[in-house]
Amino acid sequence: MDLSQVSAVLGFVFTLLIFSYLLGDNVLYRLAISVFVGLAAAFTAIVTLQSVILPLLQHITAYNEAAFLLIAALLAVLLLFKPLRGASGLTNLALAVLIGVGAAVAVYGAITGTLIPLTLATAESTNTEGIIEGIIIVLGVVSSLVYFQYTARRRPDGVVVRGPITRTISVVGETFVMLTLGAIYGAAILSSLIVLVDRLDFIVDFIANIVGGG
Amino acid sequence: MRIRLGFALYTTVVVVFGVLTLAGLLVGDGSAFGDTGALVAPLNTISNLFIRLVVVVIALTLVIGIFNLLSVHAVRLVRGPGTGARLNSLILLVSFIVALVAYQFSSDYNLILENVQVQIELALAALICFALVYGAFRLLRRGVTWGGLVFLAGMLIILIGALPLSQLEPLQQVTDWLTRVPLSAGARGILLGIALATLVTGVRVIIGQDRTYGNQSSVE
Amino acid sequence: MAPDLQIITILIVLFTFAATLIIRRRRPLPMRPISAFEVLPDLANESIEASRPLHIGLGGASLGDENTILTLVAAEAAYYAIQPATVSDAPPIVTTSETSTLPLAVDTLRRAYASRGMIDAYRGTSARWYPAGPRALAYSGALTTLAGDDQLSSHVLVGQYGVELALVLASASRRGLTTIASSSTLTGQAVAYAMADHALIGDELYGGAAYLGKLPHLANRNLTIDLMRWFLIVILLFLMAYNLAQQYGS
Repeated sequence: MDLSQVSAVLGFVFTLLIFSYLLGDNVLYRLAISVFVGLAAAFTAIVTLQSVILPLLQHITAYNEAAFLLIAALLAVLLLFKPLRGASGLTNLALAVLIGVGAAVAVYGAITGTLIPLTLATAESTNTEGIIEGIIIVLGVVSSLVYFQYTARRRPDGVVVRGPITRTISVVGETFVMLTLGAIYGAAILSSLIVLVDRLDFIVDFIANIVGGG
Repeated sequence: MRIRLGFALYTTVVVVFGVLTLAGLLVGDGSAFGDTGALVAPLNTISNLFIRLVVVVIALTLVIGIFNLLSVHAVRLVRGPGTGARLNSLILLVSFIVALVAYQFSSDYNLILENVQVQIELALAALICFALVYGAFRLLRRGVTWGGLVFLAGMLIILIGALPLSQLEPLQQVTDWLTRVPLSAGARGILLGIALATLVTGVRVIIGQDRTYGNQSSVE
Repeated sequence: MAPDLQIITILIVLFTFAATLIIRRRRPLPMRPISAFEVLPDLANESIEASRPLHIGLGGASLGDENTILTLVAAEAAYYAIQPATVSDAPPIVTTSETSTLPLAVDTLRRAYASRGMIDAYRGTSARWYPAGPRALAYSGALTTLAGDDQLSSHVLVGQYGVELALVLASASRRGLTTIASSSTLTGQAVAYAMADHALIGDELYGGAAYLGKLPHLANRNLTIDLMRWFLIVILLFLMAYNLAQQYGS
């Protein structure tokens, strides 16, 4: 048996182990998952080492580059010691750097990546999609935004409800939001169906090869 | 007093790094500011440096992840909640080590292990189909709500629209229109809402108004 | 970036800064009920009564990049879920597939224990990293086995998930676990809505701290988000009217 055959047999066996989950949560399925997680962790480590960490080390050509990496390593070491209670003051500082920089990147990304482009695209939809369609899109976006509004009003009996106008708009918004999520769910079923057919095809081919002596 | 100082220092670091990074990103190369552009441009250099620093730190945190994985499963191997859990932890640790060793010593064995990983991944991806169909049935059984009904309608329109039947061609046109107009509006509404929430929460974190994390020292 | 867009970006940030500083209500406004936040504190009781751990999954939410705010609000929700569960015989478990989030997970757990004066009860194995793997399937696969191995009482899945969330929720449903799920991706939200007992969709997770923490400054965050929401609505309607006027004008 050559290496490609060993590989195919292992692939077949593990596919069956995973599919055994359809009969219920069982030892064989858990065994396959444990192997998968172990392998995934190892390959994640290898890829990060090869494509990120080693190139960084290889490109140290100047004193300031080395100092930069040293600071990065120091911050990472501080994060590593997060579980130690005595070091929480210092480790919090490293976490604070990640949070501060990350928050700024997130704010900038939200504005330039979503807020401005989607607002402009929505406002221009009367030009790009036609007037009726454009108006529907704008009303859909507006009502979807209203649907997620947090603040409401408290009735004299203590029950918190939305005002009549907000409630009406939010029902329209709910319709747009749920129609979208339902369609995305349907598309997800279709994509996973393609993978399922491919896997069943693989199993049938494998068995046919064995039966046919190929 | 020492405790509060520690928390104040933590908040200060968030504010300083957050404000400088955001300012640097906002001013860019300074070209939008005419003559004063040269004065604000260094902010962009600082911001880029901070972002690069964080990217490298994130890459290095892999060590933390691996250390956590090995330590958690080593502990579970000894004091796991049951035999099954111990066995799973053992298999996980062995496959991790075998993959690392195979990578070091033999490209052939490494290829086999990569193939095993791909096959398990594809099998799990196929299993998702059953899970999704099960989820759709579960939704049907959950009781009638307007949201649930519309959700199912959206799902069915996409599923029926995908059927390769010539009689369903008009439905295909409806599906295309729905995708282009109401579905696009719903998706934009959700994404704009998330972007607004990110913007507001992010600004509050940067100016130190939301400090619900990292205040270990303040509560100890 | 074009100079005019750059100026607009700066104006948006300044406006948000101003709104955040101005909105400082001492008495929070009433907020619409969200079932997931009503149920979340009860999950701790379930965990304590059954002596089975509560699981909080942060998924692919990461720190230091564009997901940072999502990760922080997910950790907030995790904190309020963990805090009452710290007295349980079975300590709560927090998992993540992002190594950068692991220190925050540890921090969240320790803060929750410390707030109850039980820091010594904190166990290092409560915060766990599982690799995402291809299509995040290693992480979700690991969560399907975690439910059996650690005899979980319920899943709180807040963070970033895609279609793989379906695997975890289907396995939880089989075991009869209560589930709360949310995601920053549209696919994850669709799966959460269909399959979780309580789903958080849109930006609902971002407002969670106000529901769970019941502190005025956290409610002010939600109020500011609503203010910005209406500001955006006005801008959208104005731009649409302007575009229509131009179309008919020409």
